Amino acid sequence: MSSRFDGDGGRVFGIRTDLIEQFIGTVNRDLKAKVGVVIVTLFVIAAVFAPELAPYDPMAQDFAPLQAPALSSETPLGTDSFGRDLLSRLMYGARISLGVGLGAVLFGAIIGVLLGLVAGFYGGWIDDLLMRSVDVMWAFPWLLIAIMLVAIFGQGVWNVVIAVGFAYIDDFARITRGEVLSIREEEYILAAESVGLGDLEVVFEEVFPNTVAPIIVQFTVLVARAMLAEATLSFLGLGVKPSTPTWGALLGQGRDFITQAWWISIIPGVLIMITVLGINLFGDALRDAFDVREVDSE
Amino acid sequence: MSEPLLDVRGLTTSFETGQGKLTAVDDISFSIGEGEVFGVVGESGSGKSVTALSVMRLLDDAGTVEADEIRFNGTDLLSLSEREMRNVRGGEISMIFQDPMTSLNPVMTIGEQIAEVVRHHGDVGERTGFWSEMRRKYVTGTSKESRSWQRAVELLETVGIPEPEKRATEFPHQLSGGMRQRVVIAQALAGDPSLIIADEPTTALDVSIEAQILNEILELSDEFGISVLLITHDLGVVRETCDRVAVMYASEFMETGHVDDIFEDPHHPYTEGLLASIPRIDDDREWLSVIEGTVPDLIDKPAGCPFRDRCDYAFELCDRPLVEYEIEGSALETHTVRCHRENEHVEVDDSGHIDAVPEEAVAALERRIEAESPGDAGGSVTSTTDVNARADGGRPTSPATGSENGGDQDEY
Amino acid sequence: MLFVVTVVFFAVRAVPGDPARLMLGGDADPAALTALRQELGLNQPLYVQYFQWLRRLLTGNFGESIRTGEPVLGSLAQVAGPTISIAALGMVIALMIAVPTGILSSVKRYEIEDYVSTTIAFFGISMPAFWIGIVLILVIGVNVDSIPTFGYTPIDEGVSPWFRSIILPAFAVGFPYGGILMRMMRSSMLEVLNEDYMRTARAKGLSSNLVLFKHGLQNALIPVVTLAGIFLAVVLGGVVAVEIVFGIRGIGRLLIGSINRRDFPLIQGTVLIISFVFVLANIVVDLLYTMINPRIKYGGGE
Repeated sequence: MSSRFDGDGGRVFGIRTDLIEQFIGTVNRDLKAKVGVVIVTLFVIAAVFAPELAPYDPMAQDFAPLQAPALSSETPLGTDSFGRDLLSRLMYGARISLGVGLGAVLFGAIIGVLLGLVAGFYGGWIDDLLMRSVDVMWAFPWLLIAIMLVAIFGQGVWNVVIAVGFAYIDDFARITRGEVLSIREEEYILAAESVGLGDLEVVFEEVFPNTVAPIIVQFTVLVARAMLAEATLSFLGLGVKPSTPTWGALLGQGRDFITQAWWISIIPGVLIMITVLGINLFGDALRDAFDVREVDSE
Repeated sequence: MSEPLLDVRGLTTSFETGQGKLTAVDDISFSIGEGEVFGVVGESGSGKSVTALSVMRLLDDAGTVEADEIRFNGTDLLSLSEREMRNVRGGEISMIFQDPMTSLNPVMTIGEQIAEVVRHHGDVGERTGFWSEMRRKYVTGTSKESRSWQRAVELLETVGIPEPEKRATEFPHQLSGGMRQRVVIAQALAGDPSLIIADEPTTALDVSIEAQILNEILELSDEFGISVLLITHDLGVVRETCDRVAVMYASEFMETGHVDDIFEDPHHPYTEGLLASIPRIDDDREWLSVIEGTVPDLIDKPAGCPFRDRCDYAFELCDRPLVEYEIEGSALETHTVRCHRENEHVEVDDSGHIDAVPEEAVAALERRIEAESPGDAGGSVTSTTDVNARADGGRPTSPATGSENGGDQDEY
Repeated sequence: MLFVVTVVFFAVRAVPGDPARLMLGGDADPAALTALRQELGLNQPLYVQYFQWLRRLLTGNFGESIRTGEPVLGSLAQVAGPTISIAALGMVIALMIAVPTGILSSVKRYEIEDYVSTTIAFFGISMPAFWIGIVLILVIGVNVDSIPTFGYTPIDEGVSPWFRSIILPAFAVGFPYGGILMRMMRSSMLEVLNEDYMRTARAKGLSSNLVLFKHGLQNALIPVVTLAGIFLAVVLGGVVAVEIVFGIRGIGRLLIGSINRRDFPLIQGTVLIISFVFVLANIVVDLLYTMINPRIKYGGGE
């Protein structure tokens, strides 16, 4: 089956189409994968179309504060302490969560993959230098990195993206380097070199497409973790500006009213949980489909 | 002849796979006498290892083992409880696996890996309960004064490991491949077994140590009167070491007999083909012979001879169920072949081919198939069962559709 | 370590905002501001400040809080108790959940035990610690009177009150960590179960429990230990947020507070101490790793 797509055949955006087929196969077979796909899809739709779908302006203080959720009312999920519609705020919050999650991991991935490719491909002192630096980052707990970066650059979406994503550089660098090292030994790279492809060509034509599967899996897992990190930062008041509706911030603000208005905390919390769960399920399905090992004994 | 040590009748092992039922071992019978070295030779994937694991009942839930009987020292192994079977494993029958690199536990000392067998199967009076063993493993370690440890050191010396006291405290990765396989042999001897199953014991080793290790196994088994079931793909090894040998192909035994008979007077076309593919010093052939074609799919395997598609002499009877033919005039041991060319009514011409199949041949074959049907179970020792004669033998005969060769069932 | 120290210093100094102005208020007298800056050493060039700081660090002096004037180490020591208690108990809880369920799950693969444990672990890795804390307060704290939902009782006021005051935060911290570890334990054990030496152990006639725990467990733990070290950061991040949820005055709250007040020495000290503990923890993990993996000790093996 897969042999049909071996070699150079069938690639979409550099991803071998057999990987996509394998993923579809997994989703068809596995209930968990289906749940994951559904949750992720709903979440992305809510995030992308928040301006169209949200019933009200998330910043407008239109209603009586602390209204309980009721399906019949104008504000089905209730209002916060300023009388803002919680449903609208949550939909806009999905935008931030998705944006920060994707953005942070993309930031980490781009830098990390590049470092890993270079380190793995050239080896020698370049490898030593790069991987040592990455090791130092490893000894640094991510939350401190994020807190420090936010403290340095101030609050704001981009700063949170960088703060959270910074911690993922080493993950990607390590994975990419490992894959490159194992692929390097394989003969088709030698073959490519022997027909006179340059270093860069070899990296992008041959090595990169083959490291794609584990990187995609890692990417998905980290998006979930980045969303948790963003929620934690927002909750601590170190995230995006406090007035911006993010799930973590909503949860944090709701905590003060937990006895009078449980929904302000609970609903964003449940949403975070379901979304992250969905992305994790999605990631597991990808992992199964691409046959990527979870535990690396190295 | 006295009762054999191990007597296997009609052993069939199958696995449920996504694509259908994979028959890894198909109705094989053999026996091993005391002190005898019995070889099973065949290509990888022919079901040799699964045969060994089936006898030991070491296949996990995925595999189904059926047999008329697996009689060892008078008891049917299939009727034993798991607890009783544990006394057999390592004690009565021990195993030597292919790769000493992976078959020894990397985080346990060599001494302890041997000593635990001594404790469990020997008479050293040391406690072997779960908590005693766990305490030994994680808290106290194995005492160097304990009898089991000292026995382990002795065994290391027996298998020719220098400085056994020191080596016993080391870990497998600190030893060379040859040394490791000696450790595995010592481990196999530790329970004082009467049968050792050696599954490709030298395949993972350098050719230079292969002979040493084989000699070690044979000399020791000879010395202690241990029978050996030697599984290998190497006919040269078989010739030098075995008393009797069975040639296995696509999960079935094709030909069984004394080594000299098999090598000097092979009757099965597959055996002939195998022998012809061995290079010889006095060879003046320009090309080594090869057997053309590939092994058939073992998933939903059809009845009939599994070799017929690759066989130069294939004829009409070959898609009939196989029965066992005894070769007369073999001087040493019973020599049996599962090939319809041996049918007494079939005329084989000088080139080995068959022109016509007389009516009597078909009739005789049908009588034998009839005679060996389940109603006749427990017949004479020499008569054997055949593919369709077993209660579970009614396999679908549709040709396999997949392209896989089911070649990897050794993995199970 | 020097690298960490240097990064911490310059990173913290890069925080915009002037502590002197913060201390005296927005409309303070410029002369007073200058005097205060002088006093705090903020008027000197950055590199001078850096080397002064470094020299004091080597003698164990982490400086004084700009705000309260207390030594940084002293303030940290005051609040370290609850943080260490919660983190330690959280890790114990995580390991107690993760190792047995991971093993159970791998042995009973695709059976009900596996599905239940992997589902619970999945929830574990999908919830932020502070959210688990909030749910615990709502569900348990409110209904069970003997377990407080706010504050911390030091251990010298009795083990039982201490334990009750940290059990909920510790669980909130430990659950996500436990979920991660459980998944690793499971997949690591699944791989070990397929190893040749496990078959050898069975062929020796050992009982299935002995095969699993004597021959399998240590091998399965090897990769888990490494990853457990990496994911200690999850515990740390969890503790900081959980302290806020449960109103516990620990290092996490101190850190957040000092960032809001631009208390440079305190931020520097706290970040340094946390990094130091983190490095230390990773060294401990490395030691553990060499203990359970004999292949490392002798530098041989594959």
